[in-house]
Amino acid sequence: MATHRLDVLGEVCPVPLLKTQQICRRLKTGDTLVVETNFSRSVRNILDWAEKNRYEFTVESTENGIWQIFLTKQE
Amino acid sequence: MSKEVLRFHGVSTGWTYWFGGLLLALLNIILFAATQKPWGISLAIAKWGVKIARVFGSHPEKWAYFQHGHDIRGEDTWMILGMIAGSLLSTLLSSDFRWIKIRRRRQIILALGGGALMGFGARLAHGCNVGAFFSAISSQSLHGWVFAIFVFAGAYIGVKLLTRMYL
Amino acid sequence: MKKNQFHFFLLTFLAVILTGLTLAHFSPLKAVYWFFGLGFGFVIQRSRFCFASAFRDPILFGTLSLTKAVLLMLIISTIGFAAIQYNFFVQGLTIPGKIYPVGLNTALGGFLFGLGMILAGGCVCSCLARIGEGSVIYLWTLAGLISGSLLCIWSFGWWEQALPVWRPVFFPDYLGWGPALIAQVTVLAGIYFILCRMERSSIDKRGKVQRGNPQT
Repeated sequence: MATHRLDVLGEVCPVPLLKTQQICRRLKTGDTLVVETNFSRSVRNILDWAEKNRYEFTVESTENGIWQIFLTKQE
Repeated sequence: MSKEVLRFHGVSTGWTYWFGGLLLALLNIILFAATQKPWGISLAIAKWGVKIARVFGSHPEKWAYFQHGHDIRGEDTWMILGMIAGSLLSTLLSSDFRWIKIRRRRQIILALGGGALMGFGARLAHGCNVGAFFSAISSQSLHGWVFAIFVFAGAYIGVKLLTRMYL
Repeated sequence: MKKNQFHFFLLTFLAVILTGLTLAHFSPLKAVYWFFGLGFGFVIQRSRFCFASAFRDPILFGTLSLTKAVLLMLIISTIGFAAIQYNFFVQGLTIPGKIYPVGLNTALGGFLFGLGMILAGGCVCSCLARIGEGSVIYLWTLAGLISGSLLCIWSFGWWEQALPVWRPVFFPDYLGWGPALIAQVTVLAGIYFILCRMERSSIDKRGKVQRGNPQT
């Protein structure tokens, strides 16, 4: 039940999802990854991918134009 | 991704892709009906370059490119400015505006190089993803389909390069 | 903390409308382009539409929802465009639309464009939309776009001679109006359904693995 963090502030598409995908491969069931990004297009990109690959996810806009995405690996 | 999923997960300030696509198609049809020219944007950006060249004393209107019926007049500059302003409006409406700073120098090289490749390719093929893909396929012209196939091929090589660079 | 930016929205909205009215006073065509630009920019930002993603995501991430939306968009606009073009044809006028010769320049241009849009992280549309969102890096992309297209326009005479070009192919000229429209919409819809099936089969495979686990 570890929590990993990924900071991709300032990176543009497709780098945020590329790095998210890379870390998610190493996650164990129940682990959470928190992705922080300020690229609005990437938020949708990551959610789209998470939905397709059956991650549990929520999004929070912590500041204007900054989003935190919580991805939890299902079995 | 459906509207319900978006709302449930706290991203309520967006439209679904298919709704966006529907509106873009309708806007393009109305624009075509109103001005008899489908949506195109990259030529307007190229004309900014032409203006710069004119400042340095060359005569772009004599170049071969403008002997093909391409309009050298610059009314469509307002399309570009309008798109930037429209995006700004939408961003402010959902309170998401923020200056996003550049994180590393490599990004500038990629942006400049990628932009130059895009500009060059778009002029060579008489349009970008909008003019030579969206509007061209909608106009039932074969060159739109050829363009789409080769954009896909270029994207494939680009993805291979980018993953090698970042992973 | 997230601050409300609605007052900025109202200010910008006012400025935008005033600009539009001023433009309409001097040149109606400029005002038309301005308001349509506003619409396109608004829709692209709001729905996070991105043509580069539509080409890239199936290759890189296996997500197809944006590609499907692009196909849907193409089907709708094909029907609308065909109606307008047919109207011109019936009146005996030249048929409007983006109809250009097919040639190696289309192929090479498409390839370079596809490569560039992946490296820059968005095509021309999304570049403009991201500038509106406040992304500084896309100003560099815009600078690249200007210089790249200037280089190509300047050397276009040479490219014209180097690359063979054939005639423009407008499908209704070869197939007739009805069949051409039906053929194109069928092809687009066919790709759409193939993508739907690909999406479902990849989910089904995962579903089977998950259903299999508790039994064993």
